[in-house]
Amino acid sequence: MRCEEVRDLLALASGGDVSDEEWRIVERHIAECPSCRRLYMAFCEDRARVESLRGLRLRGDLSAALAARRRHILHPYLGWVVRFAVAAVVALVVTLFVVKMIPSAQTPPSHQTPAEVFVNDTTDFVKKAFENATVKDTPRSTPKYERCRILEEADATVDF
Amino acid sequence: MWRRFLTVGVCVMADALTTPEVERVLVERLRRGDRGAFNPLFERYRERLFWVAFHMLRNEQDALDAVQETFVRVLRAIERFDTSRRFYTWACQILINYCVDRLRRRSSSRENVSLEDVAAPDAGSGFDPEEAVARQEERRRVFDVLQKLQPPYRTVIILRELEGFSCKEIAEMTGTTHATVRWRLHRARTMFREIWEKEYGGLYR
Repeated sequence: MRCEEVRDLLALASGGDVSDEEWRIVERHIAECPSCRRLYMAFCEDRARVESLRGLRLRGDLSAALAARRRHILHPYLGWVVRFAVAAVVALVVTLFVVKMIPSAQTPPSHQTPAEVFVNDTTDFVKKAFENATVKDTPRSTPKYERCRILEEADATVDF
Repeated sequence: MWRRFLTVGVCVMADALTTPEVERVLVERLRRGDRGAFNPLFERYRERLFWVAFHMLRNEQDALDAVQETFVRVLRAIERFDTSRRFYTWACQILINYCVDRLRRRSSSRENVSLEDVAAPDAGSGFDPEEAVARQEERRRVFDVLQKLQPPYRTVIILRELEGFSCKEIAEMTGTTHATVRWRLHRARTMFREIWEKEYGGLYR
């Protein structure tokens, strides 16, 4: 058989992937042809090289990461459930914050512009401040008042 | 101490049982909803599947995702598993389909990493540092040359040389014919030879 025909079989023959009949042809040819024998040996060397990648060990942290994937495999939707729960809690907190901290959002007067609302609120605030600041009761316990009261009582009791 | 002996004994007995029989029992238990049967299968095959995925995708995070997705699909389709087949062949078929699909979509933006970033360094009794470095360098070269092959050829060579599947099994796994696998294997080995010659020289001139 010619070299060109046998060479198509050499790569497969190096891995034992040929039939008995094909192997007999290859064996007979490489016994006589040094060039094809060298090529066959080179294919065998390549197979040994590739097989050197067998039995590799995984780095420690990656091995642990791989083992930790078991949880995701057995509970594939657990991560999404946790994410959904966190998102729901955040949405609830934000809603409560908006409702409580922005009172104008509760009862917006429909007939007033925002500027009018601002002026009215400010006026009310100033009025209340003045009312609270007005002194309604005289501080009767001041020392000056006490002195006058004592003097008046003394005048009333002095018998001329 | 006695616990250690007991553990070793159980392991030896487990290995003594033929793997397909053990797997069949575990698969039956899984089908009945016994999640405890998942752990032995996961422990036995997770690293082998990881290396296949890593050689295909060349990124450790993508490979971790691939192994996870493979086992998720295994659990989902365990009812359809044909127990006359080997479990690992079936799991590997799912993994290869996932990897090929991933490579086709090229959805990952992760960078390729080298073999040294993922593999633990050689160690053990009779450890020779020089020999270890030489072996590591050889593995790096082989890994780089493999990555230069097109995915169909890389798939065939990984399944044949690294995992030891027969051409018939590979044809079944990849959904092709026996003749196609033989042709791809021939092309893959020839291309590997050409790239190796070009990059590093070799015996054949």
